[in-house]
Amino acid sequence: MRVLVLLATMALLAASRARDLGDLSLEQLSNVTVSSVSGRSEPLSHALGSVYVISADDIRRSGATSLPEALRLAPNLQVARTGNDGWAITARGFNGPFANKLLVLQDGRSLYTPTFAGVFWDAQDLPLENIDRIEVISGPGGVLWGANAVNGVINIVTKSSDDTRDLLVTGGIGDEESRVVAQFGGDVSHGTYRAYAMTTSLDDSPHDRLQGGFRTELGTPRDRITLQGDLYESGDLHGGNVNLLWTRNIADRDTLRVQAYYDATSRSQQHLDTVDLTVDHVLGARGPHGILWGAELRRARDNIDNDPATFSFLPETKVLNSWAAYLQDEVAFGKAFVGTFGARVDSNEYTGAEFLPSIRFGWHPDGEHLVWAAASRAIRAPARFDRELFLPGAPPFLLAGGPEFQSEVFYVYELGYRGQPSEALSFAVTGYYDDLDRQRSIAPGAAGATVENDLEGHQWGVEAWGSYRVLESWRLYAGYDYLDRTLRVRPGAVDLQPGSSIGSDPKQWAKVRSALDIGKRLELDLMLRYYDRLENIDVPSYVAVDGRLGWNVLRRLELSVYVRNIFDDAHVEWSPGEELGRSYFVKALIRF
Amino acid sequence: MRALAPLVLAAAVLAPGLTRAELENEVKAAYLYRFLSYLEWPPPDLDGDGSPFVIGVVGADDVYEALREIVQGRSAQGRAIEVRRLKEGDDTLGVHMVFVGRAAAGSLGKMASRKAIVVGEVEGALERGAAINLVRTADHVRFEVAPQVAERKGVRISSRMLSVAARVETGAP
Repeated sequence: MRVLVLLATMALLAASRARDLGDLSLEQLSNVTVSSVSGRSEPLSHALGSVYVISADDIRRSGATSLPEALRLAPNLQVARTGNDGWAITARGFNGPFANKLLVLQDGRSLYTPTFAGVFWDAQDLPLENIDRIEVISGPGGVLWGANAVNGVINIVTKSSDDTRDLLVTGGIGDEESRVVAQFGGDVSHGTYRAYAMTTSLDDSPHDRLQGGFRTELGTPRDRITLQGDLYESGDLHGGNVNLLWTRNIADRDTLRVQAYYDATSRSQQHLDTVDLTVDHVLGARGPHGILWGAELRRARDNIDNDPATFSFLPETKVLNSWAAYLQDEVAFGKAFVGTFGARVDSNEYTGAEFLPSIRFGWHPDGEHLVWAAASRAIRAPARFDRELFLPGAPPFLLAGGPEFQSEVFYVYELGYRGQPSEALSFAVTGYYDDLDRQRSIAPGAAGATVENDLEGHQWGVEAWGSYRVLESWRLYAGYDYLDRTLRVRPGAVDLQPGSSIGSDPKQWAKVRSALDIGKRLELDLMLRYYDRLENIDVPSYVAVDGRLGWNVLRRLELSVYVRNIFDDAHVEWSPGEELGRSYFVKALIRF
Repeated sequence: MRALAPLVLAAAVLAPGLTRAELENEVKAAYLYRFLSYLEWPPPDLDGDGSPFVIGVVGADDVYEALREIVQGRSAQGRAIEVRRLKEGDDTLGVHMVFVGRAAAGSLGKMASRKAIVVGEVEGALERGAAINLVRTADHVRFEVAPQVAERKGVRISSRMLSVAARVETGAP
């Protein structure tokens, strides 16, 4: 299925399609379908959605030292650094350190915490050199990913161990941090492997982080096993995961995939174990139809060490069972039209089965232009945070979890265009309108305030980005987002929560990036971002520029200097007082 | 692993403006690039000074164009890659691997007697001296290999590549 994704990626970047094929392993190449799948003589194509792909080279050239920082590259993401290792990241609004409408996956493993339906970014790390690409989908992805893929999905795909069969040592130091990664990889019988170790130290953090992991891929073009795992530790924060994927290629046409993973993560006051099993089946050509169906089972056990003085989750330990089944059919209507019809039934511990349908249509008069439209229903299912959080940790409570809190509901309508008018220029524009229903609110109650679903409203926005190749050695990228939201309290209800607990979003933001090669050995990259002010938390608008100068000294040795916030001494992205100023990072990378 | 945008299945069918033949040629070019990582040339065919790999392409202009695009900015085993368009009968001195397209399939035998590893794309190419053959199945491009042919030229094909091959020609009569 990765091949399919790669093909889709190619659809976005038609001009560099052949180039992208060069990233595929031998197995992947042997699985690329070169026939027109459904027997249609003309090609069909196109991701019918708002998708931006961050490539491995983009990440390398950006100078980013952490995963969240690399996500700044996506024009359709809002990324704010809330502190030294704290981040607020989302697409299409509702941002916050506990943003809960974005799903994040690494090689199919959810990085999301059911306690608050969000991601602890400080727990997530990996050698950035091992990232193959990051697919950023803004907009709902409920059919394949289920509840909580409301405003977007971030899909981190790491490299095949086929592509890391070398020795890699990289180290960097700066005035905020230092990082060292050592990795080796090679062949085993019928496959390849890699193993890495890394350590990170942040200036403000009392603990260094230690992490290690492996990946191995074994098998034949017909049956393929991918097994990977990681272990990490940083003071109170520690955890690990193991992730197994079995892919069977059936009759060169269909693909059956079974994935199972286990993830354990602990931090002060919390311990979470997750087991997940997913099966999916891609049926290739069936007349004009291409069908995907699948099912998923997940069991998570979340234990919170309650503190009577501050907060409690009641019950202290909760087992969350969920299951889902989904079906998607992609149908060709003649040569220029395609439709995708999908639905998922997603069941969670609190509200039972929820229905998540989506309809998408695309029109591509030729290979250069695509117009698409979509309508989807998405939900954000209740998290423990909504139902079981009590403040303070013992009665009398100021806030008591809402036993009746239901899923937040979103009806999302999208219209998009993507095109490549010339070989040097490509761009995409998406407009969306979200009807928001049953949004989280806080109502006064007899035994303290409680969580309800009394907000409703709508939001609309525009996402646009493009790239232009000025010269063979100089490429420019630009992106712009606009977002406008109106929420009101349902007639007869009261909402006590501050607006900032729903989210803090800029009205607009823009990103511009320049990637310049100077001769054969030097690379100069500049990245500018502008965010409008965050009204409800008093953060003024700002412009920040990061830059990197890279020098490929030898084929095996690369040196670089990365400077954050080149032109300002201090700006705030989230928390007043948490000022971000100029900082640098010097790095060396050697491969054998 | 839903490493697949929901939206994207639609795209799975084919990339835009991509005809079958185009994609097939591009996949073949990608294979040529990939093979470099799985073949071991002895010195002095490949010396330690980091001199580039040279791939020759004869009788397949589309594959040549696609390959040039693929290798741009890329390396294999730490070496840059040079792509040369050759005509039948051209000298192949210094060429490590030569792709003999369908249009030049007649010269397979002659190419096979030279130093370069020959990659073909027609049925029976292995029997005519190619070490690797790219074969089109119903929906895919697969490859078959004749490791002994490569070994006679001093080139070792890694076991990894053999395990992915659709067919390994053992050379037994």
